[in-house]
Amino acid sequence: MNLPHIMLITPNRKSPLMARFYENLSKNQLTTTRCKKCGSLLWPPRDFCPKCMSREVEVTRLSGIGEIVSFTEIIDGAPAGMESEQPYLLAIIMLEEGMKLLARVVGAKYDELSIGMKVELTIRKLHDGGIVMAFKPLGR
Amino acid sequence: MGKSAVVGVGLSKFGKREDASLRELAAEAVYESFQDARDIEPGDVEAVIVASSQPERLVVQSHVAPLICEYLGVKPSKGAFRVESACSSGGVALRMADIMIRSGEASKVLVVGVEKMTEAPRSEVMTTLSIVGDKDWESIHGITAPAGFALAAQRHMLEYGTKEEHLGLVAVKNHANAELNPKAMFRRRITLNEYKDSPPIAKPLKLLDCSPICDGASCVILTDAEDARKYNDTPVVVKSITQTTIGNSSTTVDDLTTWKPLVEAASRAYSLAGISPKQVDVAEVHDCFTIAEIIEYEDLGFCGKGYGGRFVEEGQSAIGGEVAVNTSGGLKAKGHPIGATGIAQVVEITLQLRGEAGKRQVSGADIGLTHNLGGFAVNHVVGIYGRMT
Repeated sequence: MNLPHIMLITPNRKSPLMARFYENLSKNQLTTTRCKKCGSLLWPPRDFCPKCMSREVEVTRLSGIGEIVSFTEIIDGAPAGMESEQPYLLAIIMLEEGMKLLARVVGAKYDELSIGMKVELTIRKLHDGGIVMAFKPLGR
Repeated sequence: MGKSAVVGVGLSKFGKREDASLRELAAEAVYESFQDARDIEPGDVEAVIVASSQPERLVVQSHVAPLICEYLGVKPSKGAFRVESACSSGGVALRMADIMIRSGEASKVLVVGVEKMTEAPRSEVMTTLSIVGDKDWESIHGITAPAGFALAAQRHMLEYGTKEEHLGLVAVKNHANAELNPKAMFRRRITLNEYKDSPPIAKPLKLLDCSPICDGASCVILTDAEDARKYNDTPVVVKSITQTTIGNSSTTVDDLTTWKPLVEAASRAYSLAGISPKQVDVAEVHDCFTIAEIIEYEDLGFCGKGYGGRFVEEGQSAIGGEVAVNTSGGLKAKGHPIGATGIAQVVEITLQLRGEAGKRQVSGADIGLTHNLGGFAVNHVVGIYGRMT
């Protein structure tokens, strides 16, 4: 049952920090922020540095390449609005820059995935018509 | 500082409870806990702490602590409040009650856990559980609770050779225990073949790896240990309750197969209680998914790292084994009404330590442990309990 009153899961894309992330993502660029004072690479993007509490951060581009730490295929139990996308692949990905994130893997089947497999950034459409990041096998 | 003690426990019947509203479920557990204690009435309680994870979304009701007080006819002089810590709400509520008593703020505290999960449409419930994670960075990709633990299972299988059968044996054991628990949602045994044939949910996890969507309530009356014998002949003392939190998303735990915040919470709980893991006779641990119970055997120190699968295979976690784990049937088979779980664990440990657990009684149970987990293994509460001597 998918009742109209159910709020769908959508990300905030309006705060300046998030708006910039999504603007760059629309150009197929994965970006985050880096502390100008201590050099820490922050993920997800923040407008302050938790290490040195500086508010001077700059946007920095990441390679968008990483490897699979673990993965699963969701067959049942997806949140509202995503049921029709089942089955879909989710993976924890370690980026080349050393941060971990969770995202969908598209353009591959469950049996083709393995821990340690290289993946690269791509974009997919969310149920609200906006874009979100996703990953695909490197070079595919 | 003094100690707190459990003088009354109560549990509603767990399951799909179309016959009871949220407040009625809570009252069912509260009523039983006052039957269990002696010479104490709801009006004597100085503070009420309610654990409930997401009643706003599940039954469209907020401010549930005052709501439940009103239904019970209680006006606690030191106030009522709700604790939300996702699946570890109950454990955190107990920890707050213990702190209130040890600090001298209150001497009698009522701790109630309740969740009604079967009223809302299924897709609403799935969204509700997904947003326990980080909505902006993880829920948007469609992470679900089983998916988060499937990611851990995948690594445990690769690193330690844990097999599908090991996961299945956790479910088989917990269902066998639930058969002996009149309050459990699933009072039936399952076979390993039934487990293997159950449909996939988030690979490699199947339906019978998962705890169910469930309604239920639990209650513990906690008092100053010095007065506890006035209210019960066999009070159970809270030796220690610890909690650790490291973040929220599924990528926060550095190592998917060794939950460091759990190792830390457990080691502090053992040290405060002055015991070692080997002394634990009975434990209720957070088996929201079977793989969690296997990792918890290891991180709680019941067996070595990577041996969790063999531990269950050898029957070491069964009643009569090295440490009886989830004698109630656990979250898997007793049921997992989110806010009620952490308190329901203490209900079971109290019955075991008093020797009142009926057919599932562990003989000579002196020391009990509870482990309640919240989110993607980011929040852990460990409690250690013993009979008052």
